[in-house]
Amino acid sequence: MGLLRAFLALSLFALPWLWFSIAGGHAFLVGAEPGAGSVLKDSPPHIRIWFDGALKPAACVIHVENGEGQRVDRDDSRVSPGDPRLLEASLPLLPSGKYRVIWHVKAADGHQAEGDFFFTIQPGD
Amino acid sequence: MASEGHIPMCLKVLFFLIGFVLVTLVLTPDLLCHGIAGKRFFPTTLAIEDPAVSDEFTILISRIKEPAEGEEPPTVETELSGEYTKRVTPNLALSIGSEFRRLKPAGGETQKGFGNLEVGAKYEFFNNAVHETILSFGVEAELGGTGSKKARAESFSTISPAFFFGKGLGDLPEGMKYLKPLAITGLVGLNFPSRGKDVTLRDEEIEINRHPITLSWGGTIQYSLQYLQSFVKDVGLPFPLSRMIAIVEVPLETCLNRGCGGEITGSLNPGLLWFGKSVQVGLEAVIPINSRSGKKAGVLGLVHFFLDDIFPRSLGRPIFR
Repeated sequence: MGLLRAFLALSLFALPWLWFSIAGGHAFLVGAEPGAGSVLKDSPPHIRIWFDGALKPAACVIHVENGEGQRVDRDDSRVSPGDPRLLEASLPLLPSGKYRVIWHVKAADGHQAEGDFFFTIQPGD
Repeated sequence: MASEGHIPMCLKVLFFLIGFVLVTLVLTPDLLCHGIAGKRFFPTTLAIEDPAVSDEFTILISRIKEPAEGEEPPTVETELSGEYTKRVTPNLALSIGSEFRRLKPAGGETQKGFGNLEVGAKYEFFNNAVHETILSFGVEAELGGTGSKKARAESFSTISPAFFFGKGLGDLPEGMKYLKPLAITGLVGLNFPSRGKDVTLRDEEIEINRHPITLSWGGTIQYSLQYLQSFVKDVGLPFPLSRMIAIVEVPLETCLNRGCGGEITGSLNPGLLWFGKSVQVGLEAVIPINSRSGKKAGVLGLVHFFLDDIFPRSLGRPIFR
C-alpha cells in the first residue's frame, strides 16, 4: 500500500491550504441577508452579503431589481468599513413582490466573481 | 531560392503562430480562473478532463482490477499520478504529467514503475457567463518509451486531440429552480497510436499486438450544493457541506479498428467533490460497465491545488496577459 500512503501524505500536505485559503483567492458567497430564495413578510432595510475573503471596495456593487427589472436599491452599496468581507446596500420600503439581487465583486487578489439570487416580500394575512 | 511573391513555409508558420497568440490575447477575458463561467464553478473532475483552463497541480490515485486480456492474468493496478498545468495566456495552458504504477497480476510478481510522460495543450475558446458554458479543445501526447516497461508503459506514442464542454443549468426558468445547481461536462476525442501493431517472437511463435485507434467520450453530471445555497435557496447548509458537489462520471472508450471495432469499455463513477478556495478533493467509486471493463469496483481519489489562487501574483498567473 505504498502508493496509498504516498497519496495520504500528499493529501495531508493539502490540509493547511484548506484553511489558509480563507484569506485569499476567489470570493465565494458564504451567506446573505435576506438569504437566497427567502420569503419575507416585511421589506428588509438592507441587503448584506458575506464572502469568504476580503473584497476590493472600489470594484464591488449590489444592484436590486424588482419584477419589472427596475432598480430599487438606494445605489449606496459598499464594503463594510468594519468587515472587508461584507458587502451591503440599503433599501427603501419595498412593496410586496419578487426581487432580484445582483452582485459583482473583486477579491483582494483581483479575482472577480458575480452572482444573483431572488427574495420575495409577501405580507402575511 | 523562393520565387517572387512566394512566402517560405517557415515564415507562414511564424505568421500563423504570431496571429494565434495575438487573437488569443485579444479574445481573452479580464480574469478567467479555474473553471468559472458566470456564477458556475466547474470543478476538476477525476475521470473526464474538465473543459477549463487554469494553473493547477493535480494528484490522483486510482485502484482498479483490470480484467484478463489474452495471456495477461487479471491485474490489480494502483496508480499515483501527478499533473502540472501552466497557463501561457488566460485561455491557453500547457500540461505535463506522469504516474507511478504498481501492478499485481493474479499469481504473478508485483511490478512497479513509472508510466510514460504525458504532455498536452488546451485552449478555451468560449466562455459564456449568462449560459454558464465553457468550450475548449486540446491535444495530449503520451510519449512512448519514456516510462518503465515493467509498469507496462507502451513503447509507442499516442496523440489524443479532444473537444471539451461544460454547461451549467443556471439559465433554466425559475419554475425549475432546484435543477439550476445541475451542470454537465463532457468530452469527445480520438486516440491515435504512432504504431499500428507490435510483432514479437515468443516461444517460437509470432505474437501480434494491435494498437487500435480509439474514441474517448463520456460525460459528468454534477449537482452543486454551493450553487444551491448561494444562488437558488439558502437551505442552511453549514461549512463544509456548503462546498460539496455530488457527481457521476461516465468515462467511455470505443475501439474503432484493428480487430476490436465497436467494442466499448468504461465505467460509471459516482462520487463526491469538495472545494475550498485553494484546494479541491474528491473521491469516486469506479464501477465497470461491462465484463470487458472489469468485474470489480475500483476507487479514485483526488487532491487538486488551484495555483492561480495560491500564488495569484507569481506562479498562478498566465505568462502573457
